[in-house]
Order: sequence, then C-alpha cells, then structure tokens
Amino acid sequence: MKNGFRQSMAWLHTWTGLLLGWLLFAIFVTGTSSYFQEEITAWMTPEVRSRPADAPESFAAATRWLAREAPGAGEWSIYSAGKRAAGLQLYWVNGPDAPADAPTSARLDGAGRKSDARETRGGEFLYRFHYDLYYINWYWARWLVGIAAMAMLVAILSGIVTHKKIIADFFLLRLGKGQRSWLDAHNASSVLFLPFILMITYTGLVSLATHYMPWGIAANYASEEKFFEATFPWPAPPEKAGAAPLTAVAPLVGRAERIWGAGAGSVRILNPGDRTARIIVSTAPDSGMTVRQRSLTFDGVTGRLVSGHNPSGAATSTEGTMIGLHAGRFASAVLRTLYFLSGLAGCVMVASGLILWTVKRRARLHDPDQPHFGFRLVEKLNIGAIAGLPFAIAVYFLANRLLPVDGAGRSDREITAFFAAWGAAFVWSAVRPSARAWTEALAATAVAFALIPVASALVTDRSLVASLAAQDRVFAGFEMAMLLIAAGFGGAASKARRRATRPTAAAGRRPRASSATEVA
Amino acid sequence: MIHLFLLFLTTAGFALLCLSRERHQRDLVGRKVAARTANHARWIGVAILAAAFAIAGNRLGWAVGTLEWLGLSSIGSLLTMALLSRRSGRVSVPR
Repeated sequence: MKNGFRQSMAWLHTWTGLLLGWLLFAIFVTGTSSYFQEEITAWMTPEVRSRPADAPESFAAATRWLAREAPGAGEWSIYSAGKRAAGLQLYWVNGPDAPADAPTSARLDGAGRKSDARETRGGEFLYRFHYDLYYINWYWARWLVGIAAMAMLVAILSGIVTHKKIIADFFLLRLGKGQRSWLDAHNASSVLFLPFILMITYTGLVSLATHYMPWGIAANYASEEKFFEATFPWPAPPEKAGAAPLTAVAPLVGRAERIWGAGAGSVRILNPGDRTARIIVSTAPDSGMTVRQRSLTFDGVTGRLVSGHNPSGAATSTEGTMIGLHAGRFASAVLRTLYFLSGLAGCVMVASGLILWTVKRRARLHDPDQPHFGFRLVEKLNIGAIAGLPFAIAVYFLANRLLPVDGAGRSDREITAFFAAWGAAFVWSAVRPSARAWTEALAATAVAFALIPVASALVTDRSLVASLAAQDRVFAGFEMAMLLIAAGFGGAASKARRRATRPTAAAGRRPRASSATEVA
Repeated sequence: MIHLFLLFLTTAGFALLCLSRERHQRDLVGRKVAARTANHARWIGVAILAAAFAIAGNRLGWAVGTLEWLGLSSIGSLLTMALLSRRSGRVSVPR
C-alpha cells in the first residue's frame, strides 16, 4: 500500500510538473528578476541620475513642480518606491479646462527636476508578466498563473512524498553521472530551498486569493467595488469651494514619519489650491513587512490631522504580511540577495525537473535517433523555455540600449523584441537537432548577456568602468550580474556541447541509468 | 558583518551535520570517524544552527532574523553540499 501511494504520488508529481512546468519556469524567472525590479528600471533609464528620493524635501520639491506645471489639476500624486528607486513618479488628473492630450504623468529626479528618460517599462514589465502574462486578458492570465501555482503546490507536496530519502540524501550531489546528477540537482535545489519554495508558492496563491475565491467578498459585500472601497479607501476629490493656498507639504510628511517611525512613500493631494484640499501621506513600500500601507490625511490648508488609516485587523495583517513576504519589498540588500538566490534555486528546480523528464525517458527509447513525437515535443519546448526565456530577457535589455532613444511606442518595441527573441528560440529549437539546439541556444544566451555591458558602454556614458569608478552600486552590480549570468550560460553551453559530441558516452551510460532509477 | 558571521555559522553547522553521517565521512575528511565523535559533531552542529537562529533573531529582529536564518541555512547547506561533492570527486575516481 505504501509503495502504491508513493507510486501514485510520483505519477502526480511527474505529470503536474511537466504540464505546467514551462509556464512555471517563466513565472519563476520573471518573478525572481522582480526582486531587483527597481534596480532594473534604474538601469533601463540611464538618463536618470539621482540620489534616493524619500526625504520630505523631495516631496515638497515635487509639489512645487506640480504647482507650476499642473496648477488646475483635481488631484496630484507623488510616488517614491523607497530608498532604492531612481527619482519620483508623478501623476495628476487634469482639470476640465485642460486640453485632452495634456500630459498626466512625469518623472522627477531626486533634486526635483524633470528627467527626460527614455520610454521604457523597465523591470515592471517582467514583474507584471509573472502574474498577468502578456498579449492575453489579465483576468484569464491570472487564472492560468493560479492553476500553475496550484500545480506547483501539488508538485511540491507530492515530490516530498516521492523523494524517499530526503534526510539520507540531504547533502548528496553526484556530478557527471547523467540521470543521477540531474536527479541530485533537482533534489538539492528543492530540498535545500524548501522553506522558500513552499513559502513563495503559497503566498503567491494568497496574493491573488480574492481573484480565485471571490465568494467571501460576495457573501459580505454588495459588490466587489464596495469591498475594495472598504479595504483600500481611495477618496475622490470633493466639489471645489474656492481658492486657498496649499500648506507646506514637507512638515506634514515629516510629522507623518515621526508618528509612524517609518518612511513616507507617497503623497496624494486632492483639490490642491482649494479650500477643500486634502493631503494624504502613506507609508513607503519598504516601511514594514506588510504590503498594506498606513496613511494619514491632513487638511490641505491648515495642515491639521484629519484622519488616519491603519489596516491592522488580524485577517488584513495576515494577508498583507503574506503578500509582503512574497514580494520582499521590505528586504534589506542582504535579504534581497538571499531572496534572489532562492528564486534562482526555484528556477533550477523547475528546469532540472523538466530536463529530468527527457533524460529518464531517453534511456528507455526504442530508437534514440528517432524519438516519438511526445518526447521530441517536450525536448523542444524545454529548449525554447529554459534557454529561450533568458535569451529573451537579455534581448529586452539589449533593445533598451540599442533602439532609438526617441519616438513614440518605444517601450512597446522593447517588449516586441522580447517576444520576438523568445519566439525565435522556439523556432530554432524546432528546426535544429535537439542536442545541437541546446548548445546553440545556451551559447546565444551567454553571448547576449555578455553583450549587455558592451552595448551600454557604446551608447551611453555609463559604462561598467565608469560605474565602478563612480561607485555606482546599482549600475555596476547590474552589469556584473549580467556577466556572471553570461558565464553561467557559457559553462552550460560548453557542457551541452561536450555531451552532444560524445554520443557513445551517452549510450554507455544507459544501463547504469536504469539501474540507478529512483522515482523522480 | 553580522551577515557574514551568520553565513559562517550556518555553513559550519551543516558541515558538522554532514560529518556526523557515516556515508559522507570518508569523502569529507578521508577516514571513518568514531561513533562518539560523529555523535558530538551532530549535537554541536545542531547547537551552532540554534545559536545562529538566536543571534539572527536578537540582532535583526525575530521576523527578519528568521527569514535571514532560513535563507542563510539554504546557502550554508548548499555550500556544504558543494564542498562534499568536490571532495568526493577528488577522493574516489568518478566512473
């Protein structure tokens, strides 16, 4: 009975893992990159040079800028993504007498000057892709992602049951032994990083829980809007009542920060320059573990504290902290790096699991030179996903540097380059023999990543050398990370090449592989 | 600095746990270790990991400290695994 249970869990693990593995890999890779979303965005807008902008003075400078550029607006919002972000993001709602095509957003550097950065979606594109995908409706995308995350949870739990010797094999990594090495790598990446992998899958599901399970809301609120109004209050500006000067913003931000003992991250001003003006100050994304921000509302003329919002109910706190744990916005540089490395382990886990499916079955093929259709399909999809997606990300970064800086729709063209590169990887893997396609795709990815610092040095004045000299940790760190990733893919390519040019070794491995089979 | 110290502790803790396992001893230190020594290694390893948790919680706060301890434990066990894999490759000829 015990064996039967484990066998059925192994079956479940294999097939849930395979069916959603490619999507899971894409979610893991883009999600992992999102731990450095702000840094990626900073690198992709090299025109913005700024000191961190979270001090009350920078909010005040942004308010002065808005008073000059958007005086008749119904509301202004100023966002700082915390200490890591380059500059401030401003949005405003124009008054009725403004022309329809008047701008409604701008980016300021830390000194309060408008920065004319190239148009890009930066790291936000990769972040959004990891739960909204692209080219398909976000509503259904989130369902797809949710199904994949649920499959991930099933695969993790069934994988724990399937893995007979979690404790006995805890430290085991046997290299250069074909299938056994892949199994060891799959086990190592999942067992050693199990706390992270369980946490990230579970909290990922929690972060979209109201999307997947709307019934709690349906039972308690008249409509979904009512629920969001109650949970995340977002007051609309009242009717204007007559001009009155706006009070100074900096002292209010300073006062809010003193009350919280934490930094302010955004300021929203309703009806600026009117008697009904309100100034709403909210905490910064990195001010605490929960993603639910606290806010204080001040009278915009007298500066009197009107009300405060502190989402501190048990359920809200639990949910907010779980999502915070997933997103890691609170994390210091060290913890952020640990998050990133753990995310990479998750990517390795999914990739090695997908590859293991083919490695195990190759040993049992009738004729290894002419595998059946299902085997070929999995192998091709593996190449397109595992080598193709990193290649596409590298091309996205290259496109950011190499596309003309000006011109409308620039950010869309960067994204088009991303998907074109990814599609090309799938086509390439389909038309080439698999063993060679692996080598070529991995080598192309290595070259693409290695070219990123080169492109940066050629077309901007912020080369790696210049960044190192200026002790710019974000730019130097980003480009050195690109070189490290390039080296990793280069190593993988040369390994794949050695294996591809030595077919006899693969044949000789076959009997041993079958004797060493453990449920995988 | 505290982060490096914690990484050192978790790596040392897992390396001792690894040493306490009979199947890894020959690869790790080149010989069998007496049962008593192995037993000591196990308990000292556990004690070091527990101490790392206490220090992380105390110095970084229990919420962030727990997270960092878990992350560094993963890295520490990975480093131990890499060390073992490297040494076993050198001691016993592969294939």
